[in-house]
Amino acid sequence: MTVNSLSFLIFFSIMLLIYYLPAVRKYQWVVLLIASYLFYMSAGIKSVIYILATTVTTYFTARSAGKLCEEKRFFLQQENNQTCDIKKYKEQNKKRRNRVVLCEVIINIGLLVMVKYMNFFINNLNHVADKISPLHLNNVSLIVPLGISYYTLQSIGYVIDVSKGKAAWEKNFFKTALFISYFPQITQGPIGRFKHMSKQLFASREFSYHNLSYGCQRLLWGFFKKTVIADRIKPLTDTIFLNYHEYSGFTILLGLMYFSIQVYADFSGYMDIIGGCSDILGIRVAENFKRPFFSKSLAEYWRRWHITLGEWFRDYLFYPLSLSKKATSLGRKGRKILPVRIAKLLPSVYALSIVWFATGFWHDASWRYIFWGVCNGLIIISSTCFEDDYKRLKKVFHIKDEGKAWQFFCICRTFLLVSLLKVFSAAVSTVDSLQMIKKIITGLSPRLAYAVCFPEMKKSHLVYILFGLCIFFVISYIQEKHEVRDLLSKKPFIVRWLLYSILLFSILSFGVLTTDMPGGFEYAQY
Amino acid sequence: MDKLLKILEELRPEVDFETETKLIDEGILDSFDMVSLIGEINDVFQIDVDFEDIEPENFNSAHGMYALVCRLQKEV
Repeated sequence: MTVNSLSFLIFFSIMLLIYYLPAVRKYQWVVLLIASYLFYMSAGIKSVIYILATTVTTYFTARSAGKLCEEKRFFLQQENNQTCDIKKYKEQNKKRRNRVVLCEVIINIGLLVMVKYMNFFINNLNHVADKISPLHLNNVSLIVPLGISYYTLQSIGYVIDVSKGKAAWEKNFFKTALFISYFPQITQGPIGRFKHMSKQLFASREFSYHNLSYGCQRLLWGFFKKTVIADRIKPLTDTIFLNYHEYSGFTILLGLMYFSIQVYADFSGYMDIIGGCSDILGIRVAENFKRPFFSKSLAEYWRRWHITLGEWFRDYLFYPLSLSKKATSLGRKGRKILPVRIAKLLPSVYALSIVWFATGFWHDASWRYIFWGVCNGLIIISSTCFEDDYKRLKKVFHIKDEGKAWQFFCICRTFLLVSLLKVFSAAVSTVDSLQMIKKIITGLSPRLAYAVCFPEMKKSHLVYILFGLCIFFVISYIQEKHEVRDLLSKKPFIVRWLLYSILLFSILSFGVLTTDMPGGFEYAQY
Repeated sequence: MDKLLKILEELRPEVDFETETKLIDEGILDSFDMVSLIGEINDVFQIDVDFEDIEPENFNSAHGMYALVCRLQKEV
């Protein structure tokens, strides 16, 4: 059951009716839990075992970590403690909390590796072993549970927050289960934080027309992006990437730009659909996008794209790694042989290298995603290391950061860079992505014929896409400065309903109203 | 406080750290800045800022950072 299907809309409507019944107001979170598990089971009963395993381990590790934090607080409140006792106790308590976190990480990352990465390791091992021995391991056939990459990170983040005293541990097992399985965000995120979600998930609330209205607006906007833009572009990019050997490097390059827009409309469209559903329930999920194509650098792009994933890696991997003893000593050693400015960056560079490798690997168990992660990391690291040189160059050429032309150039450059890096996710395999790069480098002969720019695409479909993109751009531009829904709420009734009607009419007339891929959305595969 | 302001000004000369109160919330300091800043603070004040101390309320303003430094110095 994908969120853009009729069955989901029926499921959600029934759930909504029950959710707002006055008799169940006190137990709204129970309704959400049942709905979440029904939604999850619709993707396969077997997957439930994995999410239950994560819930059980997360509950017990959070419980242990929470109790250790309470113990520490109680100890520190006692007045007769000696300073050396406090220091010793704190160190011991920290070690015990770290062991609990390690337990949560090993079990849950272990589960993730088992279902998602096992065959990747087996295939690579076989590849190496083929050359030295006849040993051959068979692939294992395990189902990859829906949303495992997302709820695993969310659960680990929760336990770390509890162990650091940043969140209180949830004493009710079923409430922990709801936090992990909340249906709007189980398939593709956003990766929620317990501190932000718990108060909302477990609260009781009355029906609100404001929530319904804002939620439906966002839902409609999400459907528009998904059906009119993403699903309309998809046949074009499929044509180019599945038959890339028939096309020039120029067509492939254009295809990568189309693919960037397609993935953005698809992923952010999904976020708007589930964000809208959640708004109707009175629960605001974390924002995952902030108009990434207005970014002026790759680093800024990553602060605006898939925000909750970036923040997860920053808070739970980048900071612990860059502030670790190893990173600190690396910085100190670096000062002896490198300029101070570069040496200061060494801890960040060390942490960022691991983070980008992990980000690539998190997306998919394949070398092409590892290459993609490494390339992103290299560009961001080099742009930071050479920042002073860029500044000097800009001074020489009298370029001012606030100049409109320069900003426009930076936005175009970032979009081009992001699109080029999409070569790793657009291709079917690592070999294909490398072949496509080769074609772009060796066969880039720009020709502005329709068949070259939009192979096998009907002109009417192109008009639909351009229409969709114009609206998408205008709304995104307004969103940079205002909350569109607040602006809309101040408009007269006629104007609002006219705009809703245009949007609905566009979806029904220009949108693709079928789903033909697993999960229906690009990011569901991760 | 003067030592702290000196570190901050060296890190980002264009920012007015005496008045700015949304260094983290508005993304004025990015994660690279944070790591460099914490490294400097640890060296200069002989403390150990842990990653669990990286909270907006501790790093949104120079005053928040100074309060954190004072707290950690007491704990040493």
